[in-house]
Amino acid sequence: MTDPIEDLIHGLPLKSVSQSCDQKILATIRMPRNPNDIDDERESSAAIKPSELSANSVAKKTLDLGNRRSKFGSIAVSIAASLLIGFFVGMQFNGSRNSNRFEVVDGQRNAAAASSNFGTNTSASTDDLMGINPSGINKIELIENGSETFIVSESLHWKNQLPIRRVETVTNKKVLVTDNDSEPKRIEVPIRKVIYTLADSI
Amino acid sequence: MNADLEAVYRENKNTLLSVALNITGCQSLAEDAIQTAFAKIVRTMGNFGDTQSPNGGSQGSSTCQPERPQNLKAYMFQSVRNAAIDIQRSTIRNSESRVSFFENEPLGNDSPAEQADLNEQRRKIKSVIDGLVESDRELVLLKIYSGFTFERIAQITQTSANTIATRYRRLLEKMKSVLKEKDD
Repeated sequence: MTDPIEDLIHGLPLKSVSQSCDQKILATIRMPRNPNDIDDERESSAAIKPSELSANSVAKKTLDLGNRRSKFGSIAVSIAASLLIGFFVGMQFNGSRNSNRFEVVDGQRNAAAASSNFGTNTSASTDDLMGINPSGINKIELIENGSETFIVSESLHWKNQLPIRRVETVTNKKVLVTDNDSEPKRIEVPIRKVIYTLADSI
Repeated sequence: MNADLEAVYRENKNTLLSVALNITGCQSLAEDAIQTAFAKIVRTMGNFGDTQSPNGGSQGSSTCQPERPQNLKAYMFQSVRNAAIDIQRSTIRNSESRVSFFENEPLGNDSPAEQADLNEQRRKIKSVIDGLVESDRELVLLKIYSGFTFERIAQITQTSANTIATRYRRLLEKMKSVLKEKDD
Protein backbone atom coordinates (compact mmCIF):
# COMPACT_ATOMS: atom_id res chain seq x y z
CA MET A 1 0.00 0.00 0.00
CA THR A 2 1.50 3.33 -1.04
CA ASP A 3 -1.22 5.62 0.25
CA PRO A 4 -1.92 5.83 4.00
CA ILE A 5 -5.63 5.88 3.34
CA GLU A 6 -5.34 2.54 1.63
CA ASP A 7 -3.87 1.13 4.82
CA LEU A 8 -6.76 2.61 6.74
CA ILE A 9 -9.29 1.04 4.42
CA HIS A 10 -7.52 -2.30 4.45
CA GLY A 11 -7.77 -2.33 8.23
CA LEU A 12 -11.54 -2.36 8.07
CA PRO A 13 -12.76 -5.92 8.59
CA LEU A 14 -15.09 -7.35 6.00
CA LYS A 15 -18.09 -9.52 6.70
CA SER A 16 -17.32 -13.21 6.91
CA VAL A 17 -18.81 -16.05 4.93
CA SER A 18 -21.18 -18.03 7.11
CA GLN A 19 -20.01 -21.40 8.28
CA SER A 20 -22.68 -23.29 6.37
CA CYS A 21 -21.87 -21.50 3.13
CA ASP A 22 -18.17 -22.04 3.73
CA GLN A 23 -18.70 -25.77 4.21
CA LYS A 24 -20.83 -26.06 1.10
CA ILE A 25 -18.25 -24.32 -1.04
CA LEU A 26 -15.41 -26.40 0.36
CA ALA A 27 -17.41 -29.55 -0.25
CA THR A 28 -17.98 -28.42 -3.84
CA ILE A 29 -14.28 -27.79 -4.32
CA ARG A 30 -13.22 -31.05 -2.70
CA MET A 31 -15.77 -33.12 -4.55
CA PRO A 32 -13.81 -35.96 -6.16
CA ARG A 33 -13.73 -35.96 -9.89
CA ASN A 34 -14.63 -39.59 -10.47
CA PRO A 35 -13.78 -40.59 -14.05
CA ASN A 36 -16.50 -43.22 -13.94
CA ASP A 37 -19.15 -40.59 -13.32
CA ILE A 38 -21.23 -40.56 -16.46
CA ASP A 39 -22.17 -36.89 -16.23
CA ASP A 40 -18.59 -35.99 -15.60
CA GLU A 41 -17.34 -37.90 -18.61
CA ARG A 42 -20.08 -36.53 -20.78
CA GLU A 43 -19.00 -33.02 -20.01
CA SER A 44 -15.28 -33.55 -20.04
CA SER A 45 -14.60 -36.12 -22.72
CA ALA A 46 -14.88 -33.67 -25.58
CA ALA A 47 -12.52 -31.16 -24.04
CA ILE A 48 -10.00 -33.45 -22.42
CA LYS A 49 -6.39 -32.82 -23.30
CA PRO A 50 -4.03 -35.79 -23.68
CA SER A 51 -1.18 -33.81 -22.15
CA GLU A 52 -3.13 -33.53 -18.92
CA LEU A 53 -3.47 -37.24 -18.50
CA SER A 54 -0.89 -39.71 -17.35
CA ALA A 55 -0.28 -42.87 -19.31
CA ASN A 56 -2.32 -44.92 -16.85
CA SER A 57 -5.21 -42.53 -16.87
CA VAL A 58 -5.15 -42.44 -20.65
CA ALA A 59 -5.22 -46.21 -20.76
CA LYS A 60 -8.04 -46.37 -18.22
CA LYS A 61 -9.97 -43.70 -20.07
CA THR A 62 -9.55 -45.54 -23.31
CA LEU A 63 -10.54 -48.80 -21.67
CA ASP A 64 -13.63 -47.26 -20.15
CA LEU A 65 -14.66 -45.75 -23.42
CA GLY A 66 -13.92 -49.04 -25.15
CA ASN A 67 -16.07 -50.98 -22.72
CA ARG A 68 -18.89 -48.58 -23.19
CA ARG A 69 -18.52 -48.73 -26.93
CA SER A 70 -18.44 -52.52 -26.82
CA LYS A 71 -21.66 -52.56 -24.81
CA PHE A 72 -23.38 -50.24 -27.21
CA GLY A 73 -21.80 -52.11 -30.10
CA SER A 74 -23.08 -55.48 -28.91
CA ILE A 75 -26.57 -54.07 -28.52
CA ALA A 76 -26.40 -52.55 -31.98
CA VAL A 77 -25.11 -55.80 -33.46
CA SER A 78 -27.90 -57.73 -31.76
CA ILE A 79 -30.53 -55.41 -33.14
CA ALA A 80 -28.99 -55.54 -36.61
CA ALA A 81 -28.77 -59.34 -36.47
CA SER A 82 -32.41 -59.59 -35.40
CA LEU A 83 -33.47 -57.36 -38.25
CA LEU A 84 -31.34 -59.37 -40.69
CA ILE A 85 -32.74 -62.70 -39.50
CA GLY A 86 -36.24 -61.34 -39.70
CA PHE A 87 -35.55 -60.13 -43.20
CA PHE A 88 -34.33 -63.53 -44.35
CA VAL A 89 -37.13 -65.37 -42.59
CA GLY A 90 -39.57 -63.10 -44.33
CA MET A 91 -37.89 -63.77 -47.64
CA GLN A 92 -38.03 -67.52 -47.05
CA PHE A 93 -41.68 -67.34 -46.09
CA ASN A 94 -42.39 -65.30 -49.17
CA GLY A 95 -40.40 -67.77 -51.27
CA SER A 96 -42.34 -70.75 -49.93
CA ARG A 97 -45.53 -68.97 -50.77
CA ASN A 98 -44.18 -68.49 -54.30
CA SER A 99 -43.34 -72.21 -54.50
CA ASN A 100 -46.85 -73.09 -53.46
CA ARG A 101 -48.21 -70.76 -56.05
CA PHE A 102 -45.90 -72.33 -58.61
CA GLU A 103 -47.18 -75.78 -57.78
CA VAL A 104 -50.75 -74.61 -58.10
CA VAL A 105 -50.04 -73.16 -61.50
CA ASP A 106 -48.12 -76.26 -62.38
CA GLY A 107 -51.16 -78.30 -61.61
CA GLN A 108 -48.97 -80.96 -60.12
CA ARG A 109 -47.39 -81.50 -56.76
CA ASN A 110 -44.09 -82.76 -58.12
CA ALA A 111 -42.30 -79.58 -58.96
CA ALA A 112 -39.24 -80.64 -56.98
CA ALA A 113 -39.14 -84.01 -58.68
CA ALA A 114 -39.54 -82.36 -62.04
CA SER A 115 -36.52 -80.19 -61.42
CA SER A 116 -34.42 -83.16 -60.37
CA ASN A 117 -35.43 -85.01 -63.51
CA PHE A 118 -34.61 -82.11 -65.71
CA GLY A 119 -33.58 -83.47 -69.06
CA THR A 120 -34.39 -86.76 -70.75
CA ASN A 121 -35.15 -89.53 -68.39
CA THR A 122 -36.99 -92.80 -68.33
CA SER A 123 -39.87 -93.01 -66.00
CA ALA A 124 -39.47 -95.31 -63.06
CA SER A 125 -42.62 -97.17 -63.96
CA THR A 126 -41.29 -98.33 -67.30
CA ASP A 127 -41.49 -101.99 -66.31
CA ASP A 128 -45.11 -101.64 -65.37
CA LEU A 129 -45.87 -99.84 -68.59
CA MET A 130 -44.06 -102.56 -70.53
CA GLY A 131 -46.32 -105.12 -68.94
CA ILE A 132 -43.40 -107.36 -68.23
CA ASN A 133 -43.00 -109.35 -65.14
CA PRO A 134 -39.35 -108.75 -64.24
CA SER A 135 -39.08 -111.97 -62.31
CA GLY A 136 -39.02 -114.13 -65.44
CA ILE A 137 -36.80 -111.97 -67.60
CA ASN A 138 -33.05 -112.29 -67.74
CA LYS A 139 -32.33 -109.97 -70.56
CA ILE A 140 -34.09 -107.30 -72.55
CA GLU A 141 -32.54 -105.91 -75.67
CA LEU A 142 -33.93 -102.79 -77.20
CA ILE A 143 -34.52 -103.05 -80.90
CA GLU A 144 -34.62 -99.53 -82.38
CA ASN A 145 -35.97 -100.47 -85.75
CA GLY A 146 -39.56 -99.70 -86.43
CA SER A 147 -40.11 -97.66 -83.38
CA GLU A 148 -42.87 -95.11 -83.27
CA THR A 149 -43.16 -92.28 -80.75
CA PHE A 150 -46.36 -90.75 -79.48
CA ILE A 151 -46.55 -87.54 -77.50
CA VAL A 152 -48.70 -88.19 -74.52
CA SER A 153 -48.74 -84.68 -73.13
CA GLU A 154 -47.05 -81.40 -73.61
CA SER A 155 -47.29 -78.58 -71.06
CA LEU A 156 -45.51 -75.45 -70.00
CA HIS A 157 -44.58 -74.61 -66.43
CA TRP A 158 -42.71 -72.07 -64.40
CA LYS A 159 -39.72 -73.30 -62.49
CA ASN A 160 -37.43 -70.80 -60.77
CA GLN A 161 -39.00 -68.09 -62.89
CA LEU A 162 -38.01 -69.91 -66.08
CA PRO A 163 -40.48 -71.25 -68.65
CA ILE A 164 -40.22 -74.99 -68.80
CA ARG A 165 -41.68 -77.22 -71.47
CA ARG A 166 -42.65 -80.66 -70.29
CA VAL A 167 -43.16 -83.26 -72.95
CA GLU A 168 -44.19 -86.77 -72.05
CA THR A 169 -43.78 -89.28 -74.82
CA VAL A 170 -44.43 -92.94 -75.31
CA THR A 171 -42.43 -94.81 -77.87
CA ASN A 172 -43.48 -98.23 -78.99
CA LYS A 173 -40.30 -100.12 -79.38
CA LYS A 174 -39.61 -103.72 -80.08
CA VAL A 175 -37.58 -105.49 -77.51
CA LEU A 176 -36.06 -108.92 -77.51
CA VAL A 177 -36.99 -110.76 -74.40
CA THR A 178 -35.08 -113.81 -73.36
CA ASP A 179 -35.77 -116.08 -70.49
CA ASN A 180 -34.44 -119.40 -69.40
CA ASP A 181 -37.41 -121.48 -70.38
CA SER A 182 -38.18 -120.36 -73.89
CA GLU A 183 -36.64 -118.98 -77.01
CA PRO A 184 -36.00 -115.26 -77.22
CA LYS A 185 -38.98 -113.42 -78.57
CA ARG A 186 -39.59 -109.93 -79.82
CA ILE A 187 -42.36 -107.99 -78.40
CA GLU A 188 -43.39 -104.36 -78.87
CA VAL A 189 -43.57 -102.40 -75.66
CA PRO A 190 -44.21 -98.72 -74.92
CA ILE A 191 -41.20 -96.81 -73.55
CA ARG A 192 -42.39 -93.81 -71.54
CA LYS A 193 -40.17 -90.72 -71.33
CA VAL A 194 -40.55 -87.31 -69.84
CA ILE A 195 -38.48 -84.57 -71.38
CA TYR A 196 -38.03 -81.17 -69.79
CA THR A 197 -36.63 -78.38 -71.93
CA LEU A 198 -36.37 -74.65 -71.60
CA ALA A 199 -39.16 -72.92 -73.43
CA ASP A 200 -38.92 -69.55 -75.13
CA SER A 201 -41.98 -68.30 -73.32
CA ILE A 202 -45.27 -69.35 -71.96
CA MET B 1 -6.03 -28.21 -9.05
CA ASN B 2 -8.66 -28.42 -6.31
CA ALA B 3 -5.98 -27.61 -3.73
CA ASP B 4 -5.11 -24.40 -5.56
CA LEU B 5 -8.76 -23.53 -5.86
CA GLU B 6 -9.32 -24.09 -2.16
CA ALA B 7 -6.25 -22.05 -1.24
CA VAL B 8 -7.37 -19.11 -3.33
CA TYR B 9 -10.87 -19.38 -1.92
CA ARG B 10 -9.67 -19.46 1.68
CA GLU B 11 -7.48 -16.44 1.09
CA ASN B 12 -10.17 -14.36 -0.58
CA LYS B 13 -13.49 -15.68 0.64
CA ASN B 14 -14.44 -12.61 2.67
CA THR B 15 -13.54 -10.31 -0.19
CA LEU B 16 -15.51 -12.50 -2.56
CA LEU B 17 -18.47 -12.26 -0.25
CA SER B 18 -18.06 -8.50 -0.09
CA VAL B 19 -18.00 -8.20 -3.87
CA ALA B 20 -21.20 -10.22 -4.07
CA LEU B 21 -22.71 -8.38 -1.14
CA ASN B 22 -21.91 -5.06 -2.76
CA ILE B 23 -24.00 -6.11 -5.75
CA THR B 24 -26.84 -7.97 -4.11
CA GLY B 25 -27.01 -6.00 -0.85
CA CYS B 26 -28.06 -9.17 0.96
CA GLN B 27 -25.87 -11.65 2.81
CA SER B 28 -27.86 -14.73 1.84
CA LEU B 29 -28.04 -13.73 -1.81
CA ALA B 30 -24.33 -13.02 -1.80
CA GLU B 31 -23.61 -16.45 -0.40
CA ASP B 32 -25.90 -17.97 -3.00
CA ALA B 33 -23.88 -16.17 -5.64
CA ILE B 34 -20.63 -17.55 -4.29
CA GLN B 35 -21.97 -21.09 -4.19
CA THR B 36 -23.35 -20.81 -7.69
CA ALA B 37 -20.09 -19.41 -8.95
CA PHE B 38 -18.00 -22.12 -7.33
CA ALA B 39 -20.17 -24.88 -8.65
CA LYS B 40 -19.54 -23.50 -12.11
CA ILE B 41 -15.85 -22.97 -11.46
CA VAL B 42 -15.33 -26.54 -10.27
CA ARG B 43 -17.19 -27.90 -13.27
CA THR B 44 -15.24 -25.71 -15.67
CA MET B 45 -11.92 -26.49 -14.03
CA GLY B 46 -12.67 -30.18 -14.33
CA ASN B 47 -13.29 -29.77 -18.03
CA PHE B 48 -10.20 -27.80 -18.83
CA GLY B 49 -7.69 -29.19 -16.42
CA ASP B 50 -5.15 -27.36 -14.34
CA THR B 51 -4.42 -23.69 -14.56
CA GLN B 52 -1.32 -21.68 -14.07
CA SER B 53 -0.26 -20.33 -10.71
CA PRO B 54 -3.27 -19.30 -8.63
CA ASN B 55 -2.24 -15.70 -8.16
CA GLY B 56 0.18 -15.30 -10.98
CA GLY B 57 -0.28 -16.36 -14.51
CA SER B 58 0.32 -14.05 -17.38
CA GLN B 59 -0.39 -10.68 -15.93
CA GLY B 60 -1.72 -8.16 -18.39
CA SER B 61 -2.79 -10.66 -20.99
CA SER B 62 -6.37 -11.44 -21.86
CA THR B 63 -6.84 -13.97 -19.11
CA CYS B 64 -10.36 -13.76 -17.71
CA GLN B 65 -11.78 -16.17 -20.25
CA PRO B 66 -14.12 -18.68 -18.65
CA GLU B 67 -13.10 -21.29 -21.20
CA ARG B 68 -9.48 -21.48 -20.07
CA PRO B 69 -8.72 -19.25 -17.10
CA GLN B 70 -5.08 -18.24 -16.72
CA ASN B 71 -5.49 -16.39 -13.45
CA LEU B 72 -7.57 -18.39 -11.05
CA LYS B 73 -8.08 -15.58 -8.59
CA ALA B 74 -9.30 -13.14 -11.20
CA TYR B 75 -11.50 -15.80 -12.74
CA MET B 76 -12.95 -16.52 -9.31
CA PHE B 77 -13.81 -12.88 -8.69
CA GLN B 78 -15.29 -12.49 -12.13
CA SER B 79 -17.42 -15.61 -11.69
CA VAL B 80 -18.72 -14.48 -8.31
CA ARG B 81 -19.43 -11.03 -9.66
CA ASN B 82 -21.34 -12.40 -12.64
CA ALA B 83 -23.32 -14.76 -10.44
CA ALA B 84 -24.19 -11.90 -8.09
CA ILE B 85 -25.31 -9.75 -11.00
CA ASP B 86 -27.52 -12.58 -12.27
CA ILE B 87 -29.07 -13.05 -8.85
CA GLN B 88 -29.56 -9.34 -8.40
CA ARG B 89 -31.33 -9.06 -11.74
CA SER B 90 -33.65 -11.92 -10.89
CA THR B 91 -34.46 -10.56 -7.44
CA ILE B 92 -36.67 -7.58 -6.72
CA ARG B 93 -35.24 -5.85 -3.70
CA ASN B 94 -35.37 -2.45 -2.11
CA SER B 95 -32.03 -0.81 -2.84
CA GLU B 96 -32.24 1.20 0.38
CA SER B 97 -32.09 -1.98 2.44
CA ARG B 98 -28.59 -2.73 1.23
CA VAL B 99 -26.30 -4.31 3.80
CA SER B 100 -22.74 -3.01 4.18
CA PHE B 101 -19.94 -5.46 3.47
CA PHE B 102 -18.02 -4.14 6.46
CA GLU B 103 -18.24 -5.95 9.73
CA ASN B 104 -20.49 -4.23 12.28
CA GLU B 105 -18.40 -5.13 15.26
CA PRO B 106 -17.02 -2.23 17.28
CA LEU B 107 -13.44 -1.36 16.38
CA GLY B 108 -11.83 -1.64 19.77
CA ASN B 109 -13.38 1.11 21.85
CA ASP B 110 -11.44 0.02 24.88
CA SER B 111 -8.08 0.25 23.12
CA PRO B 112 -5.38 2.75 23.98
CA ALA B 113 -5.68 6.36 22.89
CA GLU B 114 -3.70 5.96 19.66
CA GLN B 115 -5.66 2.92 18.68
CA ALA B 116 -8.89 4.71 19.47
CA ASP B 117 -7.87 7.57 17.18
CA LEU B 118 -7.12 5.08 14.41
CA ASN B 119 -10.44 3.38 14.89
CA GLU B 120 -12.19 6.72 14.65
CA GLN B 121 -10.55 7.33 11.31
CA ARG B 122 -11.64 3.90 10.15
CA ARG B 123 -15.21 4.58 11.13
CA LYS B 124 -15.14 7.72 9.02
CA ILE B 125 -13.65 5.81 6.11
CA LYS B 126 -16.27 3.15 6.50
CA SER B 127 -19.08 5.66 6.37
CA VAL B 128 -17.52 7.26 3.31
CA ILE B 129 -17.19 3.98 1.50
CA ASP B 130 -20.72 2.95 2.41
CA GLY B 131 -21.90 6.19 0.83
CA LEU B 132 -20.12 5.56 -2.47
CA VAL B 133 -21.83 4.30 -5.56
CA GLU B 134 -21.71 0.55 -6.18
CA SER B 135 -18.99 0.67 -8.83
CA ASP B 136 -16.69 2.71 -6.60
CA ARG B 137 -17.24 0.40 -3.66
CA GLU B 138 -16.40 -2.52 -5.91
CA LEU B 139 -13.26 -0.73 -7.02
CA VAL B 140 -12.17 -0.34 -3.40
CA LEU B 141 -12.68 -4.04 -2.78
CA LEU B 142 -10.86 -5.21 -5.88
CA LYS B 143 -7.94 -2.80 -5.53
CA ILE B 144 -7.32 -2.60 -1.80
CA TYR B 145 -8.61 -5.89 -0.45
CA SER B 146 -7.81 -8.16 -3.37
CA GLY B 147 -4.70 -6.38 -4.58
CA PHE B 148 -5.56 -6.58 -8.26
CA THR B 149 -3.82 -4.33 -10.75
CA PHE B 150 -5.82 -1.79 -12.71
CA GLU B 151 -5.54 -3.99 -15.80
CA ARG B 152 -6.93 -6.97 -13.96
CA ILE B 153 -9.76 -4.95 -12.44
CA ALA B 154 -10.53 -3.66 -15.91
CA GLN B 155 -10.80 -7.23 -17.15
CA ILE B 156 -13.00 -8.30 -14.27
CA THR B 157 -15.35 -5.33 -14.55
CA GLN B 158 -15.03 -5.16 -18.33
CA THR B 159 -13.89 -1.56 -18.29
CA SER B 160 -10.75 0.10 -19.60
CA ALA B 161 -7.72 0.21 -17.34
CA ASN B 162 -7.29 3.97 -17.77
CA THR B 163 -10.84 4.56 -16.63
CA ILE B 164 -10.29 2.38 -13.59
CA ALA B 165 -7.06 4.19 -12.69
CA THR B 166 -8.66 7.59 -13.06
CA ARG B 167 -11.67 6.60 -10.99
CA TYR B 168 -9.46 5.17 -8.30
CA ARG B 169 -7.32 8.30 -8.00
CA ARG B 170 -10.42 10.48 -7.77
CA LEU B 171 -11.85 8.11 -5.20
CA LEU B 172 -8.83 8.39 -2.92
CA GLU B 173 -8.82 12.18 -3.25
CA LYS B 174 -12.50 12.27 -2.44
CA MET B 175 -12.02 10.17 0.69
CA LYS B 176 -9.11 12.29 1.81
CA SER B 177 -11.12 15.43 1.39
CA VAL B 178 -14.05 13.96 3.24
CA LEU B 179 -11.83 12.88 6.11
CA LYS B 180 -10.24 16.29 6.21
CA GLU B 181 -13.65 17.99 6.30
CA LYS B 182 -14.78 15.76 9.12
CA ASP B 183 -11.54 16.38 11.02
CA ASP B 184 -12.02 20.11 10.64
